[in-house]
Order: sequence, then C-alpha cells, then structure tokens
Amino acid sequence: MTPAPRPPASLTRPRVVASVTLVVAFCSMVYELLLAQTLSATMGNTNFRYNLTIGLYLASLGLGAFLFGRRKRHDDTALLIDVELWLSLCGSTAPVLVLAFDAAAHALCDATGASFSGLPIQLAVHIANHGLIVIIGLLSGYELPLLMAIGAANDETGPGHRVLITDYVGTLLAALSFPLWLLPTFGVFGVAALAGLLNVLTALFLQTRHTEHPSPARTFLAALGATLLAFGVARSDLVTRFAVDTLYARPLH
Amino acid sequence: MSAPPAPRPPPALRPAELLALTLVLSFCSIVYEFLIARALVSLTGEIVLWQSVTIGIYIAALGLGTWLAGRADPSQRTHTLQRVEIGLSLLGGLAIVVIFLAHVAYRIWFYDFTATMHLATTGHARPLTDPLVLFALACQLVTVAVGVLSGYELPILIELYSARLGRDGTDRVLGMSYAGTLVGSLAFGLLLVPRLDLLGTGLVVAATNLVAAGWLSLRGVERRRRVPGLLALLPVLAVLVAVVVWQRDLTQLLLKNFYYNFPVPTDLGGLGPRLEQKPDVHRIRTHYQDIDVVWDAHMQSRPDLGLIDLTLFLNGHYQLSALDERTYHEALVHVPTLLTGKAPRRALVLGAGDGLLVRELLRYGDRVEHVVQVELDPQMIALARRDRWMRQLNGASLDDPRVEVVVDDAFVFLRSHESQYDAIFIDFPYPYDYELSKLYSVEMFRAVLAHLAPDGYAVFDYPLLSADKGPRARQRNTAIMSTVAAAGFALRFPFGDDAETFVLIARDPRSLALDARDLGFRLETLDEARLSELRAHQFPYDIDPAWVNSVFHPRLTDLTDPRF
Repeated sequence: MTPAPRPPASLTRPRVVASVTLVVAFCSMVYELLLAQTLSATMGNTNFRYNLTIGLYLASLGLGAFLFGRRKRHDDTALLIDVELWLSLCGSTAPVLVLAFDAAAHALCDATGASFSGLPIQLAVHIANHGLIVIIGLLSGYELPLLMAIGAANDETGPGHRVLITDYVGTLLAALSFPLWLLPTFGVFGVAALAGLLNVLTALFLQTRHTEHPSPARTFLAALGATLLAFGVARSDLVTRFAVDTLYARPLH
Repeated sequence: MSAPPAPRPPPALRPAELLALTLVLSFCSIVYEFLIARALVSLTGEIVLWQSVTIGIYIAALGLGTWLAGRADPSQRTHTLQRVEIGLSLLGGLAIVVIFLAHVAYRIWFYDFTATMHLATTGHARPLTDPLVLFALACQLVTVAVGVLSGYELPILIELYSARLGRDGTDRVLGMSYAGTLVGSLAFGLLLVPRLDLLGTGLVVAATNLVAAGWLSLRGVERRRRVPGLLALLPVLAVLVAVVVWQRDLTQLLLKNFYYNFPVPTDLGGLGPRLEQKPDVHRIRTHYQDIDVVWDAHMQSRPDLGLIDLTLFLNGHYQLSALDERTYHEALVHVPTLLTGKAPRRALVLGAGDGLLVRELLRYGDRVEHVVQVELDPQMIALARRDRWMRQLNGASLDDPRVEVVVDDAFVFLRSHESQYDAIFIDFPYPYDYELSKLYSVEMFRAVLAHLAPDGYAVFDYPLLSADKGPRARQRNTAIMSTVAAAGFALRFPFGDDAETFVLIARDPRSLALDARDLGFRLETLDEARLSELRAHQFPYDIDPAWVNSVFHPRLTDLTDPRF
C-alpha cells in the first residue's frame, strides 16, 4: 500500500488494483444472487427467475462494458469511486426495493381495484424489478474494463490479464460463500448490507488514499453510507423483520 | 511447438468474424457449465450445493485458463485457439456421457442403498464424506478441464481483435462474450434442455463448437495448418455421431442403474443383462423438475389384479410408491378429520399434483363441496390426468366436477387470491435445499393462515424426528415448529411414525385426541393398531424465535449446521 498521503497517489500498485477487483467482483456476484433469491420470493417460478436474472445481468454487464468504451471522462480513479458508490447504494437497497415495488403494486391494486395479475400491474412490476438487475449489471460491467484499463496502465505483464483473473476469483468466492455461509448466517438483507459495506469501504479507501483531489462531499457520503451499512450488517434481524412485516407479509383480506 | 519468425502476417479473421466467434464460443462454454451442474444436480438431488460449487470451480478454472493463455506463445494465438476449440468440442460434448458413466461405476462399486433410503426419508443433507459427495467432487475434474479450455478463449480473442483493429478492443469482445453468455443462459433453460434433454443439448452445443473450430481452421490459420486442423475435427465428429446413435440406450442405462436396486457390488459383466430385463424408466423433463416414473421397481406388479408397482421420483427424490401411498395419504387427509371431527367443506390442496390426495378428499362424498388443487408443474397435472396407471391410482380425481385445478406457484396463488378454506393440505417436497425451504417459511405459513376460515386447519408433511432419534431430534423439530408459531398458529399438533410425519396447525389452541371415528367409509390403513402407533410417537420441540425459517433468512437448510 502507498503510505504517503501527501504526493498525489494513483492506483500505482498492481496489488491494489487486484484487491479492489477482487472485492468488487465478489460484491457484484453477491448482488445478483440476492436479487435472484428475492425476486423468486415475490414473483414465484424460481427456475425461470434465476435464468432470467443471470441472463439479464450478464447482458447488462456486456452493455456496461460497451458504455465504458464510449466514456467521455478519463479520470479513471474518480470514475471508479463514483461507480463504487452507486453500486453500493443500488446493490444494498435492491432487495428492499423489490419488496417495496411489490407492496406498492399491491397497494395500487387495493386503491384502484385493478387486478394484481393483470397486464398493466405485472408489466410495471417486471420493469421495475428487472430494472434493478440491469442497473447493477451496467455498473458492474462498466467497472471491469475500467479496472482493466487501470491495471493495464500500471502492469507491464499484459493488458490487464491479472485483473481478469482476480475478477474470476472474486466471483468464485461469492458463488461458494453465498449459499454455504453468507445466506444462512446473515440472511438476504444482512448480506446486502455486507456487500454494500465492502463497496463503500473500497470507495472510501480509493477516495482517501488514491486520488489527487479528494472531494469532501464524496468522503462524507461514503462515510455516512459505511456507518448505515455497518448497522445493517450488525442488526440485519431488525431489517428482516421490518421488511417482512411492513412490505411482504401484509395481511391479506 | 517452435515459434516461426513470422515474416508476413498470417491470415486473419475479420473483426466482425472474431466478434461472431466470441459470441458462439461464450454461448458454448456457459452451456457446458450449466450441463455439468444440471447433471450433478439430477444425480445427487441437491440443487443449490452443486449449482454453486460447479459455477465456482468453473469460474476459477476460467481464471486459470486465462492465466495460462497469457503465458502462451503470442505468435501462435490462432493456432492455440483452434486446438482449444477442438478439445472443448470433444470434452463438452462428452462431459455428460463421462459423468453418467462415472455414476454407473459409482453405483456398481460404492453405492450404499440403505444410506440413500435413510437420507431420502429423513431429508438430511449428506455429510462431506458421503461417497456420492466424493463422486460429485471427482466429476468436477470435467468442470476444471472445460473451464481451463474456455479460459483460453477470451484473452486470445481480445488480442486477435485488438491486433486486427489496431487499438484496444477489450470492451467489444467482452461485451460480445457477455451477450453469448446471456443467450446461453436463456436458451439452456427455456429451449435446449426441455427439448433435447442433457445429452442432446451437449451434442448440439458440441456440434456448434465444432463448426466454430472448423471456421477457425478454414479462415484463421496458415494454409499448411488448414488440412491437419480440419482432419482433427473428424474423430471428434465421429465420437459425437456415436453418442447420437447411442443416446437412448445411454439414457436408459443411466436411469435404470439409478433407480433399480441391484445387489452391491454388481460385477460389470452381469450389469448389462440385468438392466435389459428391467422395464424402461419414463423420464419427463419439465420446466421445473425431472419426473421419473419407474415401473416394477419391487417386481410386484400384477396389473391384472389391479396391483400397480409404480414409483414416482421428483429430481431423483422418492415421491411415492403405488404400493404404499395409501398409508401416507390416508394419514394426511383423514387423521385431521379424526382429530377435529369434521370433514372440510371447502379444501385447498397445495402441491401433490398426482391427484392422490384429492382422491382421498373426494371420499367424503357430498360433504366436500369444492376442492382447489394448486400445482406448479402442468406436466405433473397432465401425467395425473392422462397416464393410464396414474388415472387408475387416483381414480381420475382431478376430473371430478368438484375439483378446480390451478397451475400456479403456491405462494403466488396465496398472495393473489382471497378465498378462505376449511382445510388446507400442503404436500410439498422436503426442504432439501434453499429453494424448497421457502415452501416451509414463515412467509408461506402466514399466507396459509390468511386463507383459513375462522375454525379451519392446515396440515403439512414434514420430516420430524421422534425423541428416540437422539439429542438432535429436538433441535431439528424446533426450527419448523418455531416457524409455524411465528406465523401465528397457536395450535401445533405433530403426528406420525418413523417413516412419515405430519403437523396439524390451526389459529387457536384446542385440545385434540386421536380417536377412531366413523367417517362414513372404511379406512384401509388407519385401523386401531395404526392409530395407537401414531399416538405412541412423540416429537419433542421448543419454540425459539432464533430458529424461524424465512425466505429472506433460511434456517432449515443450513449447510454448515453441525446438525447436518
């Protein structure tokens, strides 16, 4: 790590780039698994839900990678921090938002007398829910070539191969730890907060150690987010109870 | 492989061709991974564990392949890719065959039938030292091989494309690769497997891969390598054709070997004739599960006497046997009536699309006015309605005018309908994994409660353990009973024996006693001896909020729990 805070430090060390890649790849895969799990709870038909979530997510990753190629900004580190913050915000709130969309649609049906299984409501719910997958996919897809570009700029050995490999390892860790450890230990909302926390801490780390002009507003937002998410991890039982009671298990009548 | 000095640029694929190639190759690779995972899931019956372990190992192997590609000779990129594709086509196309044959070998030498039956009836997860787990781990060598070869593809394609473009084309190749993966993941579940089964899907995708390899050989490499490259495709093609020819036999070999119980160890030579004697296993691969109908597994069929030896398996898990299903269904449907003293006027049946539970309900005659049967899988309903033997078993119950069949996810049905019922019968598969444990969540039970008439009851089938099964019995029972309690059921009455256990639940507590009553028809299995056996079994449990199973926080299927 670069200990000197004074001279403008960029992401000079391949090891730092690799660590950041590992964390963000892990988080992105976790968000996707969380969405598949939550969506199958509100929309049913789990097999198809998992297929569609994975498919849409991967396509959005591709679109994100395309968008990166057309980027206007070239201050890569600052861009990376922004992506991290957005990912943290969207990813950690996505499961709650899925439940909120569901509750809102039911409330709308109650108020207007529309049928929940009717086309207008279903279309709106589908667009909102799958929009979440696309947003997270876009941000994650933007991130990988961004990291590869940063990695390639500082790595003599090849055009970001190391970044790609670390990305795979992060995804592997997520795929293994999610079902075996994360989900049974923290529950959906706890895992969401944990992944969000990792993203926001990465942003904070880059913000304070690896940018030339740290923006106080961003630092404050990141620190605030980290505090809230840490609370979310520690008290995920409260979040679960709130979400289930107010949004999901509303009394039927 | 000696690197030539490359005095002139070798022939090269156009950028558009390279992108198309990326799309096709990414499609093939992800489908190979899905295939291996699905094969292991269908052989072990454990979805989440083998899906995640396979994707994890595959992705790690991709990383390894990427790393190895970075060390390969840069001047030989197209040639390396060509060889990778030939290898991948052979390996991917054969992956399913290899895994199926390995499972046959496992069944011959390592299979422990009693252990498997124990697991099937208790719903316990397997320990890591279980031979089946070791078998599935050994199969991951195929995943590693496919993953490493696939890992070679992307960096080579990126380099070829960037070289051809004269600038960095990483983003486009990556984008194309993701698109191929998307097409693969949608096509696999929606199109390929439902139509072609696993073996057929493997063959079609391997053939696609082979065409890509041929294209590469024709257009991408120097003239002197063209002919050897194309010749190398021929043996692969021959192997794929052989698998096409033997596909049906291979599938039946696997299924018979899986379902029929042979003395262990069976010598390899004697296996063929033994399998020949057995009737074919009828497999229906649906959008949701594999339904396997096994004939005469116990060699007790006498259709002329109305005795049908038919066994039904869902995703390899034992579901019902025609020989003893009456014991199960009579207990599930009539014990609640004996306990509460009244037959349900309006009943809701969740799961159990085989029509056998409904058959029992219809025995109450005009005391039952309306039965709604909700089943997720339309093919299950079709089997129950159309199959000759299933109709004989269920007495064509699903075609009775009092019965309304709804094809829907039970949870979605409960959340989107408002009717109330005197009784709700829940017959879901045991919670072998997270997916199935949602069916036993506090959310599900709350929805059930909301659909119960004021003095209605619900009953469900769950693997409870009686006190004599050791100290873990209490812990295991506590999870499900706490979940039911948290959902608002104050009455919780577990009943059953060592083989089958059920829980009767209702909103308000009342005292219940399991006594014989006249139901107006003769119960075949619930005689006094059986009732006293049911009374004798006690199922210990506590109510502990820390063990409530939620969709959002699964507790029943904790794979790291020392209880399993």
